[in-house]
Amino acid sequence: MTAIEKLKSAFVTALEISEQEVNDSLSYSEHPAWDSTAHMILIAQLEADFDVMIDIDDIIDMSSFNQAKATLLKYDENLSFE
Amino acid sequence: MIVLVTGAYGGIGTAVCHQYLQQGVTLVISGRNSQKLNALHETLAKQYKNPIVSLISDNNEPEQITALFKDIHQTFKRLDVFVHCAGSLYEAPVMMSKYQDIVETIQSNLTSSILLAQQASKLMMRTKFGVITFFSSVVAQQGAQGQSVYAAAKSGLEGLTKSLARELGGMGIRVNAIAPGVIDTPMVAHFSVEQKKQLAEKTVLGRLGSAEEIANVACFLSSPQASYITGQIIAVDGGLVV
Repeated sequence: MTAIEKLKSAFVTALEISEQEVNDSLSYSEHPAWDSTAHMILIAQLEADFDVMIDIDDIIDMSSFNQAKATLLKYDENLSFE
Repeated sequence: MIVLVTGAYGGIGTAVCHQYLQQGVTLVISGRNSQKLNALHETLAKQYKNPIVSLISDNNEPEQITALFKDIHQTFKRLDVFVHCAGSLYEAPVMMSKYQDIVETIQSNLTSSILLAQQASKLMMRTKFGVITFFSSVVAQQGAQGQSVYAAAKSGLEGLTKSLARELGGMGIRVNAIAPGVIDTPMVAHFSVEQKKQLAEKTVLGRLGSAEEIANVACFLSSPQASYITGQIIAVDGGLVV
């Protein structure tokens, strides 16, 4: 599984949405499934799937699918979401 | 089961460690004094065969809290139980309390609890299971002369307990606090026999509590027998507050 597939899968699992809904325009609070509770579940999912510990400031800033890519790249520069 | 105990070398913390080790858990002990932490580790390791990990951490330093949980993440990838025994008693009339003392008391008893719970719950969410147990005090409910600042911090901790229970319950994480009464630990070792007697007489049971009696409740709260208990402040005080 590529990194982008893993990332999409984490969003699908955590937010309980379809894969078609996971795209670059997906944003926190703009999709009804991505509320504060889902955000916590998403962070736990990303941490487990990518084996990282995300800092609180980054958790607060992670407000879109695109931002999630940037955040994860911060923790693992070998990742590629191309 | 992975259990983290902060303030592990304190009177109650040590009793909590023994109780959990008797249950066969993997124990992570934490505290800011490396000598005391190492001494406790040695004592426990002689007595139990369970894995024990010591992690030095000052809960008043946010970056050390982050580092503590990064270590736990790297070593175990999970955390099941977090018992926050660390805290500090501050006694002074409010008119005699310096700003720095007020800030430090709130920091060590309340702010640290919030930061630790942030990190602990993040690890627990992965498995959708976890138990967090804080330590409040009888003074949070009934107040105490000369302990206004301490009581304020502990009252805040009780609000934190109830709110966190609501926030995290849906993710299988239970949050409770124990409110000990007067417990016969090194914290009251400087009290005279007469003072201890007077305190004991204020309880319904007519005696001070032991650290083991507190540890029993901490272990119960994280056991399957307590699986429907969350958001509660459990007084363990011999009937001091009735």
